[in-house]
Amino acid sequence: MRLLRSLRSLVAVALGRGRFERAMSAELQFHLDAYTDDLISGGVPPAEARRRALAEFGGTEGLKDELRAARGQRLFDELQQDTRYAIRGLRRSRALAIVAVLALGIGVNLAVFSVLYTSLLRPLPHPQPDRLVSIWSFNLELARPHQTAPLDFFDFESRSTSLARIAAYYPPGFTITGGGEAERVSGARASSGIFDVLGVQPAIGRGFLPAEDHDKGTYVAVIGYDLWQRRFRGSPSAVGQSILLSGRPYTVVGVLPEGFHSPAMWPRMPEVWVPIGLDPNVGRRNARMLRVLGRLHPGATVTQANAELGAIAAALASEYPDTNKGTGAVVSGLHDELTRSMRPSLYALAAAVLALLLVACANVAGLLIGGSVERRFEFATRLALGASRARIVRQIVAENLVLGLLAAAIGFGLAQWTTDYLVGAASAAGIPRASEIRVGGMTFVVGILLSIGCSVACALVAAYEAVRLRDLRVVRGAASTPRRNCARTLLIAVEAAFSLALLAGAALLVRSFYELQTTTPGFDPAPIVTTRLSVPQVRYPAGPVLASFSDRAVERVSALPGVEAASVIDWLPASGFGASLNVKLARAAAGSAALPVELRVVGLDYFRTIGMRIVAGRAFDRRDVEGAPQVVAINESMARALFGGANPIGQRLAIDRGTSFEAEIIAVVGDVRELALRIPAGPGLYAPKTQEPWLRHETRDLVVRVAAGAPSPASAIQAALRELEPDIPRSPVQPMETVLAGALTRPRFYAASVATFAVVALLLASFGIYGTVASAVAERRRELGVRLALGATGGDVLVRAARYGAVPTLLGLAAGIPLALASGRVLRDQLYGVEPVDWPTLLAVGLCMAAIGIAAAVLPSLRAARIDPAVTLRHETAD
Amino acid sequence: MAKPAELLPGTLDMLILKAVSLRPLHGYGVLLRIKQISNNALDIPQGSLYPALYRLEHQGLIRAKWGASDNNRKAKFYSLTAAGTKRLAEEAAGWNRLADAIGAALNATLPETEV
Repeated sequence: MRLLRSLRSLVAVALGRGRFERAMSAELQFHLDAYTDDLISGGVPPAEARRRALAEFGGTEGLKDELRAARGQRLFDELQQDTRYAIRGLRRSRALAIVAVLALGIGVNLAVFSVLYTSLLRPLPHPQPDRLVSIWSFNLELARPHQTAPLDFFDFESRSTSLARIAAYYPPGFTITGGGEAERVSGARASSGIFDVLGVQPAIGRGFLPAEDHDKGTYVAVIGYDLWQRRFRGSPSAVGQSILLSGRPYTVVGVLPEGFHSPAMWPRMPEVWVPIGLDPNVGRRNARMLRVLGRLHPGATVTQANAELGAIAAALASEYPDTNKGTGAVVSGLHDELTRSMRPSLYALAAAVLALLLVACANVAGLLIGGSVERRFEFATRLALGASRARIVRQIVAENLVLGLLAAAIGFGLAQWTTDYLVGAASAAGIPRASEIRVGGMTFVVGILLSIGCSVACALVAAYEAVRLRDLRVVRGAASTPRRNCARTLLIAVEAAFSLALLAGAALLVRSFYELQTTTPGFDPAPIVTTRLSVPQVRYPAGPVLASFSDRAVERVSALPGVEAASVIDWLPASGFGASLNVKLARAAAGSAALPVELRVVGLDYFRTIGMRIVAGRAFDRRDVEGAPQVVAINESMARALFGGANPIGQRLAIDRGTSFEAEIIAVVGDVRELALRIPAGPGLYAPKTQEPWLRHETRDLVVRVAAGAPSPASAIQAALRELEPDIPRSPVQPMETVLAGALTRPRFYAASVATFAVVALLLASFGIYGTVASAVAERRRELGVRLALGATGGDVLVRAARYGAVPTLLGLAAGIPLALASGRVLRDQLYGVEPVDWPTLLAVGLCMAAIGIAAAVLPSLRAARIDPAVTLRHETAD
Repeated sequence: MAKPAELLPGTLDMLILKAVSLRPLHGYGVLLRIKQISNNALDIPQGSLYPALYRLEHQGLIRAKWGASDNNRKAKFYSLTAAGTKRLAEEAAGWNRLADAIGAALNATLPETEV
């Protein structure tokens, strides 16, 4: 009978364990409350009453154990098991956290490494890539490289001995018509050596013959593999067939192999190659138009080639002083030259992710130390029993290495997963060779090395902490409060310092981005749309034919409903392209320095169309035709530079453009950032396309001002142009704002990348601070309990616990200030409108970090304040 | 005031059964009742009260029921079962016998010859 009753009670307990636990807690709580109330009504102060009640009760956790035991041994066993699982689970979650943190750090590093490797480190995709060189003519006076004139190039080719092969090209675009829709492709007029220099031979057919460098009548073309597939469906009989390029038939003589690509080709990989001999300027020494590439002889160095070409250029300067006086030549390694401009920004990016990795490692080391403190009993016992320190260190390193390799695998997957996004973002940002970015073998090797390095370093820090615990008191369980832990303080400080540096850098980049975004080019882009008049060159050669086409186009488009005005210009504002010119005052003394100015050739009504202010004088009009007095307009910067406060209207400029001539200034217009949005306007000159020598100038960018509230006239514009010329390829009608936004892609890429890294670092740092304080609270539960029992308030304990995280955070932030200043210096070239040392930004970022760090420290400290002294005093925290 | 007497082993169960035999009580009430009926002479260690209650409940000598306390809070009230009543009688009888015997033993005087 008694047995039956016990059994029933047990079953009830087993079935309703949760209910039992709740009931038990409620019952004990009721008792405590009732006793406390009685004490209070007996005149004891509330806080003291509560403390006394708890103390006399003697710890509810232990009591609960006894109660469970009283209710039946099985339940007790179950709970004990649960506890063991919980501890094991805690260790598992620590491992999980280590893997996650490390995988994140490694993944981000691998992604950036793959960009860096492709753009900066990976050899060019050509045979013997280290022998490829780039050759520029050089203005010795301005110390500025420029393109090479055709005759100079041919002299380089015939006189140089250090170069095995040398080639030149010029990148025109071609419009392909006939047999399908008209399309615009990039092209190159290249000398016969080009394929030898690049180290490629046509897959079918031949390359160019030396004779074709000078032959004006051989219309032959070599085409790229993709174009061959597109227009000839990959038929081998394409060789020998004709292709219409810009309205003229060329015979296809060769097809390049599949996948052939050269990052050296500027501005983009050509799809069509034609001989340089067809260029009308090929016999000139004053047309500086060619991009020159060379391949060194085995054994020759860049330095030798540079000296030799310099000597050849000097000889040419004395032979042809009219055209070549003051012109030198420079040779540099091609890879070096292609990567030079991107190097600082990509290294800055690499520094950012390394800082992130450091934060991640500090985090992991913190987690590991937490783990070895938990296992200190195990380690101390083994040390006491005679295990060598090396053995313990080896064990910790090995354990962590496994986690590290796991993290490397996940990080590699992470990087691979982001490849598409990376390629897209990097190409939009104009990072060289972005399309070649692969998260491949090299990245994998680096990932493994990084993970080994990180896990061993972290493990050694943790192992040092573990073997320090060689203390018999630990074995006896007496030393349950670890000594002050310098390593962990240092780790938090490192995390805070590097996070601060990253955040400061990110803040600068983001501020630059917004500065740039809110910069106006000098006119309101909102009502402007633009498109390119890509009419076939042969039927519309530069000169009167093209001019009359663009006149008709402007006329038709201006008449469209919703269009206020239309005009043309040679280079769109802020497009990154342009032309420059040297001018002098006509009355200036001979030999006085010329002023380099940005030149734009514009159509009638351009100023009104784009919305430029006319500060003084008049706009170009129908009077300004060929034969009428030569006129130009200048911008305010140029007016200031040349005339100070004097009135420039009516003054005459001496302009050197092959031949020298004079022109009268008829207008001063507002400054516009013609070259790029981030470059403030300098002196600028505007010339009418209706007068020599601008008549042959190509003004192909159509600019249209749309009336307020009118619908987009994009399709009407395209229809009107097609009506004028059916063979015009479909080029998009873009809002001017889109064109300008193109200048923002690179800053956006850097700002977004670094900001992402900074936020991740901040999260990791807060996580690290939180974790450290949480384990400090757990380890010092007994100490904190004693303090509470001795009358410390919850607030005192909270502050004491939070200090474990807050003090190192603040120390780290202080140490991070020089780092943050350094990050500003590293980013100097990427900044716009913000100084590299920006104290308000730094202060804001620092305060923000301090707040987050302190919050991360206070959160786990709240648990400390809730410690039940009766529990902790009865039960030492033994694991 | 005299120091409260230490509780003899085995007597706590009996005192609890006695306390809840008068009317249902919650744990704290049991504690107060034992103090009261022993004129503050007995002090029950708070930590051992509940294990005893749970043990007795587990043995089926008392039963628990949730009810409202004096100040209208939810509390667990213990009352005696039939088995508990029987056990209390046995224990009380046993205790009285023992107490008589010990009392007699302590009051006995030794023959002078043995001094």
